[in-house]
Amino acid sequence: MNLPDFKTLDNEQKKKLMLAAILGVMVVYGLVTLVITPYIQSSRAATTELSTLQVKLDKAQGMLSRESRIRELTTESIAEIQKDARQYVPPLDNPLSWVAGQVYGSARSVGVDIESVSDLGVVAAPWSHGKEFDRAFVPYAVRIVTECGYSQLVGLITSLEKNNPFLCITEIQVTARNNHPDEHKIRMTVQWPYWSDPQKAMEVMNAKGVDRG
Amino acid sequence: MSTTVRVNLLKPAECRHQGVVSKEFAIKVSVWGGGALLSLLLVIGLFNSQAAKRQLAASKSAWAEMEPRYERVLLMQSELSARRTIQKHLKGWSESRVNWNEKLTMLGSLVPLDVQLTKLVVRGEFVEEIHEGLPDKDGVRKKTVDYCRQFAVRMDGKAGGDRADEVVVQFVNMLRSAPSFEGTLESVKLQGLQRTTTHDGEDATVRVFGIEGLSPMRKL
Repeated sequence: MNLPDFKTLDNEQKKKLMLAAILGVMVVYGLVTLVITPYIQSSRAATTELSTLQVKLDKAQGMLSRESRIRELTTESIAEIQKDARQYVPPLDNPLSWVAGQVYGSARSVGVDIESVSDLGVVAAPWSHGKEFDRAFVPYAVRIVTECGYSQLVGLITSLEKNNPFLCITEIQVTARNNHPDEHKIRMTVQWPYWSDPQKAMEVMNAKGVDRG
Repeated sequence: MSTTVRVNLLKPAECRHQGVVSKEFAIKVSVWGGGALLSLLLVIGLFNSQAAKRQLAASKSAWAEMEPRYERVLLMQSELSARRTIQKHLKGWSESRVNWNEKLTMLGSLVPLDVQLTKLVVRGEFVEEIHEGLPDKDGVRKKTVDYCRQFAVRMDGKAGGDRADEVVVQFVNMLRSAPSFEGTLESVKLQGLQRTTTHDGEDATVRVFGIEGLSPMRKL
């Protein structure tokens, strides 16, 4: 087919040719706007979604490969907390009687006669009103008053500290007695970690190891 | 005189291009070649897009299967993190305390024969240690707070003998340098040393003194 020479065409033919050209451009434009562009966009969206999903899948697979280790660590962690809390943290109901039992037990083992153990209750700590209010423990304190020799005092403190790695002696006041150089007036404040939130405590203490499945 | 007349009997439509490739041929090749290339690109695009959509559908189905298990593991991970925080806080209790049994035993062995302690006071309190981080993109320094314990120790006593003052100073120096107090008392200062007369049975001149020490902050 030979292409017609535009110059040799008459006006009618020229008009037809122009119309055909305009129609062609319109068809191409419509094709691009209505078919190709939406198709490219949906294709791009699918590719983007696929790559996002692939990242999620890779992350999930990495996490799932550590599932048994996480389960093991969680179970271990729960068991350790429960063991420590049962052994070293005063119970929520009547902590003084538990603490007094510990103090008198230690004093008896070193031959110290305790004069009094008085409840100072939960002591204010800086995190009690801060943003770390969710700390699991607050200090519960008692004051111990006695009279004994220096070596007996050291024995009592040794016993208390060895029996509980978490208690903290925050005050010791040793005053010599004038007429009894071997006897001293002793005043001590001892703090134990105490559950700050009873509900959280119950939740932790009743938690079981993580089940499979 | 001769005249040359050139006569062109061809109509313009009958003229042929004299070059290697005619204009008409070039236009045809361009149009058809472009169309073919465009079609090829469209087919490749279509193929890739279909492949991506198939892969997306497969990934969605894999995700739907994996998601509940993943959510369970995430929950377990957050539970583990919460439990570890509790353990960390509990550990802070043992790390922040001073084992006074060891310190008081060592103190008993450090006190010189001529010195008698009349009063010993240990007092611990909570302190906040504030750290400023590096400035962020807006130039704001983020502050973090560490909760710590700090202990103050006060010893009052008296020393007898001719060289009582020297004995007291030596005692202070021993407290400063004793390895057993390293990390427990970071500043030990003699707060007073004065002569006084006691009337216990017979009159004697003694030196009474006060010593103060402060522990470093111990992170809770």
